[in-house]
Amino acid sequence: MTPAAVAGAIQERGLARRMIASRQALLLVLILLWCLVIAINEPRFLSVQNFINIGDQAAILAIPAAVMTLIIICAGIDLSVGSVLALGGFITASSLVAGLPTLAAVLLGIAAGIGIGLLNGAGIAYLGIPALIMTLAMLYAVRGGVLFLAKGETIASDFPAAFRYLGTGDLLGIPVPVFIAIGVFLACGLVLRSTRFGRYVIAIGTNEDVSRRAGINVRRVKLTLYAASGAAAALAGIVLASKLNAATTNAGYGSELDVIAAVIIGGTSLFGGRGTLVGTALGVVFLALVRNGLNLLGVSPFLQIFTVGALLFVSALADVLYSRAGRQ
Amino acid sequence: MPRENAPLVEACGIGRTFKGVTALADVSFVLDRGEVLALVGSNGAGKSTLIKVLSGVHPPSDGELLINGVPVRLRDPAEARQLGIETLYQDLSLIDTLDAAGNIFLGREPRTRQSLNRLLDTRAMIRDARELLTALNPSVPLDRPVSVMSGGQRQAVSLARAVHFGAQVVILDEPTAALGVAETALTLAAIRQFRSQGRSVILVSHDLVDVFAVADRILVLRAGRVVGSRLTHETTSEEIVQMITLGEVSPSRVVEVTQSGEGRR
Repeated sequence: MTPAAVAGAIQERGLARRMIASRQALLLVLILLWCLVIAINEPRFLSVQNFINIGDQAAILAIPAAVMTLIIICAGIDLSVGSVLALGGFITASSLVAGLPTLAAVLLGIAAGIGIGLLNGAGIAYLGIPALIMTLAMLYAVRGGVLFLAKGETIASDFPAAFRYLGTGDLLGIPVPVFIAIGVFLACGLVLRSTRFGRYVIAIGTNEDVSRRAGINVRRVKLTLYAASGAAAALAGIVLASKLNAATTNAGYGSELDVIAAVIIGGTSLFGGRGTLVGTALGVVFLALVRNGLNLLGVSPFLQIFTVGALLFVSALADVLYSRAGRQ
Repeated sequence: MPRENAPLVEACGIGRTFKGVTALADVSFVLDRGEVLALVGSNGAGKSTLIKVLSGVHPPSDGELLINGVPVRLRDPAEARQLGIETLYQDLSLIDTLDAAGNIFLGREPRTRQSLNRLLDTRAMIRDARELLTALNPSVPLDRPVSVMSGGQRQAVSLARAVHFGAQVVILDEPTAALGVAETALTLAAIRQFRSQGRSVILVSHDLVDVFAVADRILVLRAGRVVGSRLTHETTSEEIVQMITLGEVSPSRVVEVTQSGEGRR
């Protein structure tokens, strides 16, 4: 069957169409099924400690994934988040080593991320460089910069307790990084649903020409988005450095792909204009559960990578079919 | 200073060339408040170029445009919109993934005046959208993206947007070309409604039945020039067809051409 025929078949069957239309519900069902399968085979899966671990691991990816959702809804992409994550950790850790107070060091790390994000945004919105290329250039440049400045070495020290709390502390038994991630998600969700900026993100991602004609400052929206993405990536790097008690030059290496995979698995459309933060949250959790479950079952890490690929393919296919069905 | 009793729009000798090719030459016309002016002509007669001049997409190469008697230079669509000229292109002005309210208010969304006064006032948006749309096309769903709407419903959303922006001149480019009978009737009713509100409408259409149904005056273009202008109740579609195809004709030739025209059919 050709893709068009498949889309036609989906169009005819109301149930299938509704299932694809509510991809979040589908994803939730998949997550529960997955938990059931793992729990039956491995009782340790259901322990509180295991769930805390999953949340702790998911949080680092979740922080940049929230902003990435807005960027992909706006028909953009940010490949530089993995490198900016390392930059944020490096700047904050070296500031702490230099004797800066925790708050100043954290703000400096985030400012560095915003700086890179502004460069990305300026290149994309004002110079007209495609987002894929601009942020790919930044992926290399920033990673190279961090390696050069750190001379390839890890920054480890006796970091202050306030800083350590960001990555290792807990509230009511729940790790602080989980709260940070939830905060970032709530903020992004509020922006997307309830502000003019959020409307403009959707409008630009759907049709940039119409948006411009409606008087929307398209460039400023894009610039702001990439700056926010830089800030979120740097924040994730700071939390990771706090957790590891060290800033490594290879921190977040390749994580941009995990972040994008989580957003797409969460049902945000690659074509722009459609997506939800609830979906991305489910996508992040699902990826973490898959990794955790396969680990517990003793499946080879190589097959885990394969599984992420398969999930991503299915999500992208669903997106294509849904877009076709929606157009007919 | 705006002149008293000046017409809403006055075009004086408007010309437009593209790389030496003349698309419009010496086009003059007047549009009064509350008037529906139809712009007719065959393909390539210059209708599209003229509405693009009026909506600020193509600044004119020659001539002068006056709004309320004041000469204006429209350099981009935003300037035209600020002067109250809103242009609706066929299906080119909506964001598919947003709902009716989202499209009507796009770029000027109302916001709440509470502590966090940067949040969208969605309640006001829905309420005002319902009010605007009830008058234009009550069948428009308020909770669905415009991508699932019919051509007529989408057009009602575009028209509501123009009304909300306080447009004084609404330019409609082939508004009924893709519509069914019932939806065409709604669009024509909307045009009459605009006229009764004191708004002016420039209607570009190939459909002379629609033109005669709503227009007060018909301006005929041919090869980039104005062939003539007729009050709708003082002309016939035969005369307009001749003006479109042959240019201004004398009464004696009218008979001749009508006969030969009928002979060919």
